[in-house]
Amino acid sequence: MTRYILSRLAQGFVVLIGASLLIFTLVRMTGNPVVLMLPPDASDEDIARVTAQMGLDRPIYEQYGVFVAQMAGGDFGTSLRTRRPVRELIGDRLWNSMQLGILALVGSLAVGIPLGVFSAVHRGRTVDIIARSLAMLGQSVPSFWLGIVFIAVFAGWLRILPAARMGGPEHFVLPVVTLILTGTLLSGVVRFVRSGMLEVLDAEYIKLARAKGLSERVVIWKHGLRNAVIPLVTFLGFYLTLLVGGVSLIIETVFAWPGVGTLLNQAIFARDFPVTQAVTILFVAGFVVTNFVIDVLYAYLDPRIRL
Amino acid sequence: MSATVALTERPGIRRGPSRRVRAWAIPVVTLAILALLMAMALLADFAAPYSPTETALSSRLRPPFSDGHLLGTDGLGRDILSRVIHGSRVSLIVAAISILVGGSLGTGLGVVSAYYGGRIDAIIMRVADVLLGFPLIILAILLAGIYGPSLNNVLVILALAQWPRFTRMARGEALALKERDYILAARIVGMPAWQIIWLHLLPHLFSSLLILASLSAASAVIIEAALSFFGAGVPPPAPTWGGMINDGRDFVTTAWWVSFFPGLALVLMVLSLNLLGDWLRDEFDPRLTQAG
Repeated sequence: MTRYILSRLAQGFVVLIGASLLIFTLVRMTGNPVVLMLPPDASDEDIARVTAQMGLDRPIYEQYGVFVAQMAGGDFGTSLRTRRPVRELIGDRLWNSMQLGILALVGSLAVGIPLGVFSAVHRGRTVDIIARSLAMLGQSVPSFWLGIVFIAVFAGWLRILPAARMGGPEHFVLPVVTLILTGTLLSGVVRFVRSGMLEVLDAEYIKLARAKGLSERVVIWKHGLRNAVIPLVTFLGFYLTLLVGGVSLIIETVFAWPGVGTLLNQAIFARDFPVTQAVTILFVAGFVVTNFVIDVLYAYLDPRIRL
Repeated sequence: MSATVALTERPGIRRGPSRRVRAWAIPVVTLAILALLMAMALLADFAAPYSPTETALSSRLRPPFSDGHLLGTDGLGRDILSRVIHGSRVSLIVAAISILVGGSLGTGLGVVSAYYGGRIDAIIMRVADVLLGFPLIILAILLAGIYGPSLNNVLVILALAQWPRFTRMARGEALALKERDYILAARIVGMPAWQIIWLHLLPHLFSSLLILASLSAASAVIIEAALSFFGAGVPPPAPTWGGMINDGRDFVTTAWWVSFFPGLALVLMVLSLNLLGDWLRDEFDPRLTQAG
């Protein structure tokens, strides 16, 4: 078991290093940020001077070394654009992004689990068809389009909800609903619960529970659901890693949400290397960590997996 | 299934189209839609009433059904219908090439990974895992920042996004097949590995490949649209559905049609591909039919 954990840990580490190197080099290939920071008529000497000042003309491996050393010390660098420490910038916004993700997750579970259960129990009937159509639509509709349509309808035409930015609860409605309905969130939850339940409902212990005289409701919800959720947990783990990854970027851009996604967008276009690197590495790290936790959890639950 | 058939065959009971008929409707309708989209893409120059790139600043932001413009015009006076028709080209090309390249690469890697096992297997699968979780959109935006947005960018990113899924599927299937007697027999007889793979393993993957291809094409179209939305896709003035949706953002409350119609086309294509893939899965993947 320990060997498994250690090997997974090592692999995760390798991935992280590889990804950080990749981002580091790629980001520097987008151009010189100094050019964007100085006024357009700055002379070449000025540009060269400031570049040297910022240490951006050093060989890549030296810059990378400095970068790693700083990160190890918890210093994520200073934003080239705003001169504020990157840690502060991310810290301000991380919770904003996470709020959307958490609300969307809770909403999807609240709606998706019951839908999945009804869908499985009444297989083939109207509920099932509706649930599966919803799931299918969810996968087929691009989130940015739906978000824009919602804005047009609810903010532009009906004027009952705000179009963008963060604020009171009414500002959360559209982005969260869009997040829930599109991508694979709600559709994934419904599908997994449904297929899990379908497999479980045929099992022996369900027939036994019925034979014992337990009410159908107890049978389904208490005994069936408990086991049906295991594949759902896998899916949720997977989704969590995606969420940390790039899903937030799209929704935040559409709704002008002050989150980590929009921060990244701005940083890329302003050639703000430290911010871009830090945020991307944060995403990758989140993915690696979540993956690692899931792997270990699974190994713990099912000894056969530790091959 | 038998109960339904029995009920529909009994005289005097009308239950609407039988399940068999309804089941057939899906591939027919989706394939028809896809064929229509393909025809649209191929015949774009003839089907589109206007040029997709010619600007006409005197007729900016005309609403749908205004004279001559069935779907309205955008911020530069370009006809939306024509741009939607031409936009289908990008989506189709991208989808087709990405699944061809990603699919063959991925399947090949998956089969090799399963057949040889060991170190090769571990490396390939790790790389696949990493790619599945890597924020590719960020990579795409960065690449667009370095090299400028281009079709090549999009194809590279999409190939990277697609192959891991094919590898996973191929590897899973190949692993199961590998232990079959006829494979072992072939090896004993001395058949070279590539021949075994080509003649005995690959043909069994065909139906799974088809299913995955359809579903992957759907996600490829969406990813391409997302890239275009961020300006990291095929550059303007080439019309892309994602790019058009982005263009319409500025007018979302006043000229909703600029973003709406390209998105609708997108949904139509992706929905058809997804439905087709799902139907194929229901038909051809016996393991899943028990669970519905």
